[in-house]
Amino acid sequence: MKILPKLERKLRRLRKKVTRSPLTRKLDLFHESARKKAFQESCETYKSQIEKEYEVRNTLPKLNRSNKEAFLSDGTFHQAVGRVLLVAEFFAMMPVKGVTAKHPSNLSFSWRNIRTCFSVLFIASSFTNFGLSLYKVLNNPISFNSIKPIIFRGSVLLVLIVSLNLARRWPQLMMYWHTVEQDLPQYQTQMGRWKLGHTIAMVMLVGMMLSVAEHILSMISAINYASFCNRTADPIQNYFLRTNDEIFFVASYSTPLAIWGKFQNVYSTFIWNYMDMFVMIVSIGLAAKFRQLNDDLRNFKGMNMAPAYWSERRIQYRNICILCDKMDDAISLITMVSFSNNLYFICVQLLRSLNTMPSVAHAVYFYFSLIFLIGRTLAVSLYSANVHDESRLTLRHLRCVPKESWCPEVKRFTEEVISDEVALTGMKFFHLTRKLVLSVAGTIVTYELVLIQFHEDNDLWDCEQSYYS
Amino acid sequence: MRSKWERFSGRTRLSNRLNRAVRQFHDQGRTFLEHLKRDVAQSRETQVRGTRQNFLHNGTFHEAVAPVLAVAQFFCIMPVSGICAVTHRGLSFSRRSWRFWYSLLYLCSTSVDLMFSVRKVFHGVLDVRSVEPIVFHVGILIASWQFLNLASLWPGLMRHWAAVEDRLPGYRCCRDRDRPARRIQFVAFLLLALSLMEHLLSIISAVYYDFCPQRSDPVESYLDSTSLQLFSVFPYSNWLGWLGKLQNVLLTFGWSYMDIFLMVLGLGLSEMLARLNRSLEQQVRQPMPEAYWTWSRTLYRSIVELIREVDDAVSGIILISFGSNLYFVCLQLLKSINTMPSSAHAVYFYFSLLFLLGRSSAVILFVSRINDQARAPLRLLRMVPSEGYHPEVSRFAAELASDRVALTGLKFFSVTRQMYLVVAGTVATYELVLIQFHEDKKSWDCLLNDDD
Repeated sequence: MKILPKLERKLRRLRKKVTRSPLTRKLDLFHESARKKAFQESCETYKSQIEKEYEVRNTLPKLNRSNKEAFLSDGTFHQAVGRVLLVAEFFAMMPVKGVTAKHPSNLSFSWRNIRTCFSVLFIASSFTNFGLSLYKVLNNPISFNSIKPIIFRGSVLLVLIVSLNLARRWPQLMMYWHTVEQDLPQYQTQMGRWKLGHTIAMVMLVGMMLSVAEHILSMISAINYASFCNRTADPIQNYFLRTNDEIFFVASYSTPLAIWGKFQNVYSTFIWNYMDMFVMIVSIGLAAKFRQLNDDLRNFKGMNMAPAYWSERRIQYRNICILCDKMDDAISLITMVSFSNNLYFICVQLLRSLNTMPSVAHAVYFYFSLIFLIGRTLAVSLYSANVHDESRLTLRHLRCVPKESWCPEVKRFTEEVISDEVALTGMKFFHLTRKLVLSVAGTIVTYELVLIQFHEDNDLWDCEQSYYS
Repeated sequence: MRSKWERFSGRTRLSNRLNRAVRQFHDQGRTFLEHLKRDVAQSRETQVRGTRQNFLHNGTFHEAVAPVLAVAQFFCIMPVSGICAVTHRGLSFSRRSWRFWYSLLYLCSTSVDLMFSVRKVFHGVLDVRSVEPIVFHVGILIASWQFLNLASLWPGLMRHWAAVEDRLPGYRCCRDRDRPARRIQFVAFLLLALSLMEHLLSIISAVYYDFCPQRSDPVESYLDSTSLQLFSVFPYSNWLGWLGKLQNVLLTFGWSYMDIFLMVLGLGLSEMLARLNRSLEQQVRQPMPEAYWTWSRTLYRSIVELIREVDDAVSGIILISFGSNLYFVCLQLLKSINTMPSSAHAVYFYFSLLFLLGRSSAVILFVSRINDQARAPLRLLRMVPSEGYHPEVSRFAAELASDRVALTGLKFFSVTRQMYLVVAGTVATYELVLIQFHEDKKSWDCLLNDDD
């Protein structure tokens, strides 16, 4: 009995087909064929387009003449940060593929990539080194001064692991960053677009140059010291025995081990500097996005604008805030490590500045590295506080909205700006604002005054004592 | 017929126009002569004696601050031309004026002096006390540089200031109008007089109670001791000694002037807010139309914008002034434990200590008045009756409640009354630690001093 209604329905459909007039049937057929044709055509054009692109990409000569457009920056963070990440990849950090590509959709992360393998290998090697220095420190009397190598290597190891984790999320973060950037009011001039990339490149260049200079000075002073306390006849061996004392505390001297130790040393120093640079660069990028919005608001300051304008700007502000939160979640551990590291090292170095310097080379190296350290810490704090400053600047423009265009949308925008604390954080323990700089300075002075009380001048010419880390 | 009529009418029109023009010339000539006569009479009169009008203040900040800036220019700071002009329009800054080169010369000589002091300090033992000349010199050098920058911004700043002042509610009588200017000049000249007195006392204590005379002539010996950093390099000569003394006087003045200038700015800015507050106080109890609230809100906003602009220009000076005050208060308090060699030394020392403490607290209190006055309208707005509570009032109140209006030290801290206690606490903490390392340095022990 169940079959009956089904049959009936089929019959009805057949009847309908038959009863259609020949004209409509013809028209239907005509339509059908036309649709098929159009579909096929569009398919073919798409296919040919893809093929053409593929061919173009394949036939592109390796050294083609670049035009002006290739060198003009489009003001995106992805493009500005590309070369910085490339340098980092060379030093076994941030193993993301496609950092110098034009578009962030070309970014990708995979475990089987050569960069990732290199990074993992380096993490394993620094872990070994960390274990060795831990062993050495624990076998000697422990003081505020002597745990310096552990803190140094430990923080480098931590940053390496965090950066590997960050590299996995980097493609998504950059895609989000790109969508936010697309939505923002565009730069008016090429100069404005160029500025972000230029600032980032300059910060990176200056920072790296200074850190290279510091490393060379440290080598000079170590060579000087090693030649004074020569344990063996070979000066190179003396130098390596001095600088990699944690390795040769357990193993006897051998050249490959010494080279491994030196390699580890150079890479650790770079990464130690790079974490500050990275925090700086991310905050420069975020501050630039806030500035882009503020510039637009400043252009229309005190004018009567439609509510739609304000709601658009509010949504853009909100997007940047969300971006800031996302970036903060991603890098807050690095920020925390960088700040606590700087605090500790400034205290140690200031305390050491009371010692008498054994030679001119030592004095030059020491004061250079102290000033570099303080300058770098100041730069990190000020650049990252800039994000907060720029986010508050919006309020000043909103205060000048005239009475006629004051609408609920502006009110909501104002209240959001007032009540939100937009800033990078150190794992949400502290916000990076300009007030933090003063409190950090105060903390350093206080600790220093306490530490001085327990300080004894350790004679650096005493060859038994290790000074270098 | 028609053409004749036209010709005739044209002629009459022409003659009419001529007549009118002649009459106009006559009138213009007469008025011009009258003006000329009046001007001549006026100039003759003013040359003879000043009228009451000449001595009345017009209540602008530009006029009130003119004598303070004139004194500063005498001591090579703030090279702006036209500070004594009647209105702010006379102000200008140019790199070709002698004032600019004068203050540039001062900057150069200060840097040279700084180098000599650094050389001297590094030859001795480094500690909190011995770096005093370096902190002193560097502070003043940076502050003078900041003042030079400020001078280039000053005409624009005063233009903005005058534009805001014009919109403020007027004074009731001429004595009210005089008061801010008098207060500013009183504070500035009192402090200048005190700092002069301190300097004289220091000279007295150094000249008459010189325990380790380096030379037979007391004046020469004094000059030698004031610029030791020079004479540890060069052999003694009189002219170099006088140059060193001149530099010393200029530095001492520049150091006090930072604080005086900040106080004057604090007084000027808080007076503007106080004027607005006075007018609000009369109106808040009765229901006012919405336009009144729009007016007062935009006025408040423009004052705040002015404060922000001033802050951008002077926040570096604030940071330097507060930092150097903190250091010198710590140092002087530490020195107060020492035993004094003579009563003249004791008088000088305690006078300078009290002066320093008084000046440092006066700066904080005067500058923090801006914050106090900027918060005051909020209390008044709470008294607005409910029938006069417009959306504009609620917007004004929300803005007042959430904004923090104050001068800042490079945005690191904002100067409020709470800061006074914080600074006092910091001084106490550092003092307690520094005392632990303190050894009594006998300043009249010549051998010990020679070691330094």
